[in-house]
Amino acid sequence: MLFVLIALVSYMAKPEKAQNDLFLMNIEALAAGEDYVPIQCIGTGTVDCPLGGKTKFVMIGYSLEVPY
Amino acid sequence: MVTALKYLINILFLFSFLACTSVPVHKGIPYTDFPETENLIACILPMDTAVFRFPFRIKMQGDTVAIMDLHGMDHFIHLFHYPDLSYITSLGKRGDSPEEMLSVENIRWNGNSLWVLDANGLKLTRFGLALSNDSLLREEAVSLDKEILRGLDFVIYDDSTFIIPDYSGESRFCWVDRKGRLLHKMGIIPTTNEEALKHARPALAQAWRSFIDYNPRNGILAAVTQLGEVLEIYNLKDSTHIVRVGLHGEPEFKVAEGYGIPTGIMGFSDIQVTDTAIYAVFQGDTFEEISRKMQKGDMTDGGRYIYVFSLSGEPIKKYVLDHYVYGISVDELNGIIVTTDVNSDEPVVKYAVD
Repeated sequence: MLFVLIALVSYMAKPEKAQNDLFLMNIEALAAGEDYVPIQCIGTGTVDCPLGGKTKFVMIGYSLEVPY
Repeated sequence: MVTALKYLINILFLFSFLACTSVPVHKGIPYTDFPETENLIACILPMDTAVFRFPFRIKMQGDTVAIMDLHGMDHFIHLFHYPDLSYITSLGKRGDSPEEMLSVENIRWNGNSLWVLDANGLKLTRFGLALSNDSLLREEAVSLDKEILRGLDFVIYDDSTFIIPDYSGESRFCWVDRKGRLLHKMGIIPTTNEEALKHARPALAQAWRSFIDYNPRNGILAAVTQLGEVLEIYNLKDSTHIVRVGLHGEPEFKVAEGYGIPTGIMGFSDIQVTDTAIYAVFQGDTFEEISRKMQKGDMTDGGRYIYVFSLSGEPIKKYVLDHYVYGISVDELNGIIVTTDVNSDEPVVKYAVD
């Protein structure tokens, strides 16, 4: 039973690792600034704007957003 | 055949997983509602001077009230007599000279001294009040250790120590001495997002930006998240740590250009630990709602709820306000909560509570 369970876990782990690698590549690309992502800070508020100052909310541009 | 086998294996795995484990949704203890809800009607305290752009914090000390203007043009802090709100003076001049301030994140009374945190200027400044002649003296400036990444709030632990939230993501709080040196760090962000903990800590820390308060009489250090709905309670006397997570869950964010970009909801905006309870202002609007409102010209900002928790984090009561407020100052003894309404030219609003 233990052997079967280990085999199953190994089988399931492979595609997940590939997905994680892709996920991390995206994060690293964003962090490294390889793909410029436009950031806009809208209004006056209390949220820290990455561009400086405090804003009401922050908008980001196109597709390379990594949801958490 | 292979596909069918894969389905079978998936199903078997799912069953064995569900049978053998229980996965916690949060690292904290969830709460869903408050046993009591009370609607409160405001009493607006008129002011003879309209000087605010964004009255973010209000701190009482005897018959003096300090109001912090987050986006102040000339000065960040204004002092008034309480309760008539007659103007005394302004301090925290905006500017980049050594005695001026680039920004102000929070203010704290310590006796007759007022401490002011300038995150951009990396310093804490102490003003000594001599109210007999309505004058104010800048008595001390503490340059913060460069290792402290954007201290966005602070509390005074004792005469020689400050506690500042940590935005490196390596811990939860920095302990800092009176000379601004980092003594040590404590705690960890209580997120369930293990991927972010491993690979995106600065962004995670930005998303978990928290407002804090400390009561030296009971040793309770409490923090609430600006995004999402998380309350953390550190009892510094018995070293216990409690995390309570409301219906809106932990802060949600996206990573872009290495920054944690807020999504989800605006959560808490201020907190106070009294001798018997923890009071926190809660908003709860999604950023989509905020955006939609702004497009319609509705610029209302702030929270309509004050949540009251016991010192061990049990939900006690929810106050529903008739104003949207940001900062609070709770006077438990006299049953009064004084708040700031950033949407009004009469920004000081008082509520009577039980």
